Amino acid sequence: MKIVVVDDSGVQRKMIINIIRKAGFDNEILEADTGKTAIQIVGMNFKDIGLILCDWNMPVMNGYEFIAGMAKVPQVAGIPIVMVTTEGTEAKIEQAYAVHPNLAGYIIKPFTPDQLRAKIEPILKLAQADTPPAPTPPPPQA
Amino acid sequence: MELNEQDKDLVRSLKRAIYKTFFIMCKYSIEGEPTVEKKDIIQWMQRYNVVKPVEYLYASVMTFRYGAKKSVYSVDGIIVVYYPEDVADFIFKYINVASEGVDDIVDACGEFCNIIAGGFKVELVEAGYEELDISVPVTFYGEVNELFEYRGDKQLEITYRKEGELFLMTDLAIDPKVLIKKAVGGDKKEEGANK
Repeated sequence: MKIVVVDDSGVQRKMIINIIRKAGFDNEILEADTGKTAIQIVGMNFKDIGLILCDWNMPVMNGYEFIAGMAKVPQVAGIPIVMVTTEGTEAKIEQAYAVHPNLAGYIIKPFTPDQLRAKIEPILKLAQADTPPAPTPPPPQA
Repeated sequence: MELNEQDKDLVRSLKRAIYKTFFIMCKYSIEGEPTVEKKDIIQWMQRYNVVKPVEYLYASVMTFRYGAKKSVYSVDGIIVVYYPEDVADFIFKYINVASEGVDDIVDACGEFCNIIAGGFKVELVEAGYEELDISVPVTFYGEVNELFEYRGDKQLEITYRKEGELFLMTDLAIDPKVLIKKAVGGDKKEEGANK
């Protein structure tokens, strides 16, 4: 199961990835610096993605436009998305949930590692439990 | 120049955002009050001219817009955060990621400015003002002489010092016309006093 981190700041992406790794998750992590790049990544990997962490303010295509697009496509609308953003007013939070009612969470920057971990751990554990185990290779023939 | 009530709200909101950002991101508690001055904006061809003082090595700039009615070139406010080298290094250290050079520190300064500006607008909404939209940050390293679209003529310069040394400086300017107090219990809006 893959995780996608969408943020125009490379340093912020690294910071989030560090927190995920320190929480004990060794999933493959894909990075996008705009919503447009994230759409391309999701298009190529949607069957394997278990979580998307998405910033709001980004150039080219922002996070709001990205989640609005995701909500309209049935094949990807169920992928859990957690917004990780400085957009912290009630109006913006309501706007995000209105455009993507299944949003899995909303974290306002600045956040502590514990806050991010507490939000993503249950989502990732649930996604891992739902993922069928890889088939066991047949025993070597004598 | 004396601060009016709107200026005081802006300063209070920005101070809270800066305090919270340093406290959560760097586990650092800013002590003491900053100096606050209301100054004329340096303009060139009716644009906001960012000229970084030599004491600072990095400068991050973000703009504010009110509503979607404005043209794409219209900017209703601007914030510039200036970082001395040692403060930028201090911030980067707490972000706790491997550095691949100056570009990463520039990126971190931009993200820090983004968090301060985002926190500032949340504080402003909590102080009763209508919400502003923010741009993505642009960060400069070394010499800066850049023009931005903002056309106002006054700004607030807020300077923090630590043990007498410069710690952080922000320039903040918002067009008073877009500092609109939300009406309580009705749709009628009341514009700020400083038209």
